[in-house]
Amino acid sequence: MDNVKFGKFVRACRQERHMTQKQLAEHLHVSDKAVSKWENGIGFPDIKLLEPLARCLGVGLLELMQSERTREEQIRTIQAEQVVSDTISQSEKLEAQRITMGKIRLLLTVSALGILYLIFAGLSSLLRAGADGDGGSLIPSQTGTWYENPIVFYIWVGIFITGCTTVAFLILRRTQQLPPVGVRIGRHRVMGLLTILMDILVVVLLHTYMANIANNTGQLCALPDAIPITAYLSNNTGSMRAQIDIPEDVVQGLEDCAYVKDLDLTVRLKAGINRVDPDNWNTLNLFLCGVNRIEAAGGIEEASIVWNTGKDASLFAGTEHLCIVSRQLFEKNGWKLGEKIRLCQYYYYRGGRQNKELFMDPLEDVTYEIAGYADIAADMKEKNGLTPPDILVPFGAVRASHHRRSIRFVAHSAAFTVSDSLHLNDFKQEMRQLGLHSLTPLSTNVSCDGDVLNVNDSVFISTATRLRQLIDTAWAFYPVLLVLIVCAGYLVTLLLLQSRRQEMALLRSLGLGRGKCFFLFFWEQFLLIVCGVLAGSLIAVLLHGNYGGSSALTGCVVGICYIIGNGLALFRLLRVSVMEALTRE
Amino acid sequence: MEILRAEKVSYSYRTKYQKVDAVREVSCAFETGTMYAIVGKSGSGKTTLLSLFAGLDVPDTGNIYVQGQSMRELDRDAYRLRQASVVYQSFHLFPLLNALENVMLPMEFQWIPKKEARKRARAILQRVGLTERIYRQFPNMMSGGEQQRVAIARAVAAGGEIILADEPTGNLDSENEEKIVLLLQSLARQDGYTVIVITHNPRVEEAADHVFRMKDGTLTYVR
Repeated sequence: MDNVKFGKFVRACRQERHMTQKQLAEHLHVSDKAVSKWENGIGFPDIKLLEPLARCLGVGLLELMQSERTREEQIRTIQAEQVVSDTISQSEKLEAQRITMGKIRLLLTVSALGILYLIFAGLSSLLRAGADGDGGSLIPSQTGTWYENPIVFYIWVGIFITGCTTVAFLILRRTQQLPPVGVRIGRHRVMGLLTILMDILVVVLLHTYMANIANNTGQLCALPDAIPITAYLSNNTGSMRAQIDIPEDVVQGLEDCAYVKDLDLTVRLKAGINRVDPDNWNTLNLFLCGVNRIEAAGGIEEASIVWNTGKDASLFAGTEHLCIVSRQLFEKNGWKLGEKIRLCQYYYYRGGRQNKELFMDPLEDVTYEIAGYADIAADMKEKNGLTPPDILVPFGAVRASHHRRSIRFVAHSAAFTVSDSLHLNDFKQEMRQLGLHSLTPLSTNVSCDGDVLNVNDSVFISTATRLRQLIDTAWAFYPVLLVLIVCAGYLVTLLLLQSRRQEMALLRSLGLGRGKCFFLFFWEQFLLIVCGVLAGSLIAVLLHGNYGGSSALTGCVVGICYIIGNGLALFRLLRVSVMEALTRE
Repeated sequence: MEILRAEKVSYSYRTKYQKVDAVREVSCAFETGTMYAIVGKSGSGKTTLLSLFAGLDVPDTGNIYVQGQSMRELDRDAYRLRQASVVYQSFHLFPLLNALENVMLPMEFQWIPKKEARKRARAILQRVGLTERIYRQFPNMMSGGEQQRVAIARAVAAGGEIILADEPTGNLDSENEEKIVLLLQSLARQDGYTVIVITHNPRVEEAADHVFRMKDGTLTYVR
């Protein structure tokens, strides 16, 4: 089928019926430019329009498809089928060509996007590397930036918009003789509204994305408080964490270490009241436990202790000879609060084969003042099979007794919380310097030395790692989002302003330079984008409850990217052939 | 007096699928105070030639001279602003401006004060045969003939000497067609414009002082 012949036939029939192209177009509900295209052999009507077109022109359908009047009253079936087949083929051929060109354009667009992504990713990495002064630590640095102050930022935005308005006014006041921009926007209000809605959507989406990153970052920063890392000392196989021998230098090291907080130390003794008969070990019947904090006793609440006036749990931090006795012992001996009792203290030491046997020797006879009593046995959790103590005394007092008697002091348990979870490696290094090492659970030689550090950090590390991965992934995808916003600005502008190509072409035809023409339309779009971005930022603040600073920055980023896409689209629209735009479709 | 001359002008463009030699070594000259018609079949290159004369495209080879000056050395935007204007088949008036404002537009692009521009616009609208009633009307309130007259008035308002018209009567009925043809003729003969009309209309061809025929990109002089 010959498009040119078809076009000429359509024109001839139309003119015979004294119809203009516009009138024919109105009958068929198409544009007059489409009719012009058909008649010039450039286009071909959709197959659905052939019948109504034939009716308008007063010809038969087959005559139209053959592009000539037929004198025969009947057309042979084979001939008719051939004509219909040709028509359908023609229509399909054009459609196939359109699809092919569409695929080529898509391929080129994806390639261009890929290149843009690489550029943005590179720039983004450079910017982040410059801003991230911690050299890649687990937690990003928290520094206040100018855009986080909403008042300062909005003042800056206001100055920026005022400046742009002034510049635009100065440039356009002598050349913008079209109706004011507000009137033009009002004339194309549907397109304007779509532009604004698109901007609002993009701003809210990006703000949600950034809020998610901020949320994860906040969680990461709060992780040390949310998941504290605890640690304790044990023997080499981990089978014993109490009644182990922890040398005094290790104890001192833990007390001095900046990474250790809430250190719980205990030392166990045996004692007898007033005197101990070496021939009658029943007189050495009391278990003493020296603790540096009430929490080290394990399970005893300070509130459950009946205190003597003026006494509280701070006594365990000192070296005074004060004690807490069990209620049972207190009542059994008829003691009173503030009463002084004499305790003959015995300390434990190891000896014998492989230093595993436990022995006792006298330590010191000390007079303690009863500062309070409590149901120690009931409150204390029975840990590691050890008998709950009868009397709690300050850890420092026991230590001092050892020093006075020049006896080697060992603690029997140590547990604490890591104060700075962010620097686990430094903490572990310091522990190694104290002589503490990791667990060897399969060791056959079970020792009683408390020289193994057990750190409960697996949950913290896995959580922190996961959060960090989420944050890094989100930032890595950020440049892609910016590229997508540019594309959104490009596509939306291209689609919405297609109908104004003629207006652009006409201005060029009248002698307005390409640059001025570009700026005329760009200014209109700029105002719409700014409105959309401001509205979107406001909505984002209402939705997410953040203060305006970060929302305004997100809106600014969206605005800049969208304006870039918008500018590219305008540039493309203005490159169209003026004559083609004004004489054809 | 010769005002526009083309010397062996050739122009081709690429469509989606092929290269089209729209204009092939066209040489011609146009004088002031004369109306020319360029006729030819669809697709012969007439509109392309017109766009070259309007400075909207640049010839691949050859040259176009405007009052002796090569168009390659001209500011083509300024040329369209001050020397040549185009009238289109579909009128292409700005819908947001009334008739007076449409005519004032090219003058305001040239920084002519509004008062002066308004005064000249009135005179020009009167010249093309439109009454005061039309001045404040918007394009959607006017008939086709009135719109085309306003478009011609806008072309005249630019102050140039060349009017290029692409099928100016294509969308008009026969009565308005005649009026437009007579208007173009009078602009050429009485006001000294060079009017170049692309047309299929035999009436326009008849009214023109000289006729060229365009066929397959080549231009031949008919009369």
